[in-house]
This record gives sequence, structure tokens and C-alpha cells, in this order.
Amino acid sequence: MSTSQTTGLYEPVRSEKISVGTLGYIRARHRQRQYDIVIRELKKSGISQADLARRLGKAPEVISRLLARPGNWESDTFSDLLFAISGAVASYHAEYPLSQRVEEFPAEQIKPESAPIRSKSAFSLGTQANNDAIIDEWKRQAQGAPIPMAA
Amino acid sequence: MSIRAKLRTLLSRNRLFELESLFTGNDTARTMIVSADILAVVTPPFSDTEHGRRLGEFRAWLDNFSEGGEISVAEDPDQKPPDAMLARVAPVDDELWSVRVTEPEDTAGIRSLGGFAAKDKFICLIWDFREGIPVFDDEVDAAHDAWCDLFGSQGPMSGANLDEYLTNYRAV
Repeated sequence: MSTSQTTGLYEPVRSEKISVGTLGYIRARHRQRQYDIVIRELKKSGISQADLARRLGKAPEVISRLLARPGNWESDTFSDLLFAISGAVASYHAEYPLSQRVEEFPAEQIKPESAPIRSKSAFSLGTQANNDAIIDEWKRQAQGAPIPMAA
Repeated sequence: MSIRAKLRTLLSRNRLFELESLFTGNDTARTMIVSADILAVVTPPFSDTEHGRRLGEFRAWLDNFSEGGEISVAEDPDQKPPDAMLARVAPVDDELWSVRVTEPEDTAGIRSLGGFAAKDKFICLIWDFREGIPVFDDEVDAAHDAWCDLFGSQGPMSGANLDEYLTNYRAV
């Protein structure tokens, strides 16, 4: 079966500029996650759009428009919708999906100038100097340099 | 030959591609299948340009589908809210649907046409920036031709109601 290669999206590295295309992808995912939460709460609660509009003091067509797609809601709009639907508040946590998937990248497909972070825990526990050394090593590996044996 | 068997053949011959989510790989609730043309434009890196931003949005739509995200769906081509994420296109009997990427809001968005191979399994065949589609019916004809080229007389899946097409949807 033909399966698309998962390549080309990397965690930010040093001062390298993130393309607006990458930001567009990440932003859209974020909007969609917010939309998922709101729509699932709406379905679970059984509240009508008309009642939701009344709770928020908004016109029904405004609510209808908001719920039609994962739009670029203001943070307050997201909060208002969630709370008005079911009294819920969002809880947040950070994930690192790109660093989790990076082991699947063939070395030749890793851009030397944007080497990904292979191990978040190893990276974050290191000093800045150690982290720089780790990044340099990844770049060397991506460029096909022999991997030095551990002492 | 069933649509399932034809699809398997098309995938094995690299005429269609199963699109992995950039975040979750093939561990997905739904399946998104795309043509080579679409695979080429939604495969990162996404450029540091307006086009790159729009194609990043397009890929996020496709990955959201794969990952089982909520999708607003308009079943009636003549009563379609402007913000629906997925809309059936006329003629209804052709069973073609329009993937509607409506963000970024300051752009006309992207449209991609295709059909369902099975419940929660969608095949995107053609795409274009919305402003590049002056006559939408021509785009529908092109999608119809693309489907026939791949599947012959075997049309897309036809369901009695939206529940038969996909899960986690919201009719609008």
C-alpha cells in the first residue's frame, strides 16, 4: 500500500525562522482541537443553539456562525462557549508530537539546518552547552558523518 | 470488482496514497486518501509564503479528518452555509463532496473534491485555491472525470444519511 512519507515538519531549532506555512498548519490544528472540545461538549450537553445564544446574550446567528467551523476564535470566545455550554473550563498541557515521531525519519531526510530534537527529556535535562553539542551531533548524523563510538 | 478491491490496486500502483497524519502517523480514526497532485502540495515543508500558509491549512484539514476531528457537514448543495467544512456538491447522485478549507479568513480558501470509498474513508482527487475556480461546475466535472479514470463505472459510496458516511460530524 502506498502511504505518504511523514517528513519535513520539524520542531523549532535555535534562531531558525519558522515558515508561515508551518505556523499555518500548527495554528489550524490548534483551532480544530478547540472546535472539537466545544462541539463535543455541545453534543454531550444537549443544549440547543438558541439556549446557548441566550446564555451568552448573543444573537442566534452569531452562535451558528461560530459553531459552523473551527474559526480563529479569541481566547475569551473559546472560554465563553465552553463555560456557557456546560460549565466546563479548558485544561491545558503541552505535547511534543514532532519529537515523538522523529525516530521514524530516515537520516537523509533530516534537514541539516533544522535538525529535530530527538529526545525531549535528554535535551531538556542538559545544559545549554550539552544541548548545543547534541544538536551538532544530530547535524553530523544527518549529513552522513560517521557516528562516534561512545567512550 | 468492488470499490475496496479497486482502491487496493490503485494504492499498490501509486495512483493514490494513504495520507498519514503528520502528528499521529497511521494511527488514525478515519482514513484520508489523496491523489499524487494533492500529496505533492500537502507534504511539508510548507513554504514561508502566503501559499505555504494556505497549504499548511489544507494539510491540517486533511489530518483533522484522519484523526477523527469534528467536521461540520452540509448535505444539501443548495442550502450550504458558507462555513461548512465539508459539503455535498450537485448533482447529488454523483456522490462527490467538497472539502472546504475556509481559513485563513483573509483568503478565499481552498476547495478539494472527492468522494467516500467507505464510511470514514475519503478520497480527495483534485484541489485548487478557491479563486482559481471561476466556474465551480467545471471543477465538479473534473472531479467526476478523475473518479471515472480511477474507478471506471464504480461510483463513490452512497449512503442513506450522514451517519453512513462518517462519524463525529455536525450537520449544518
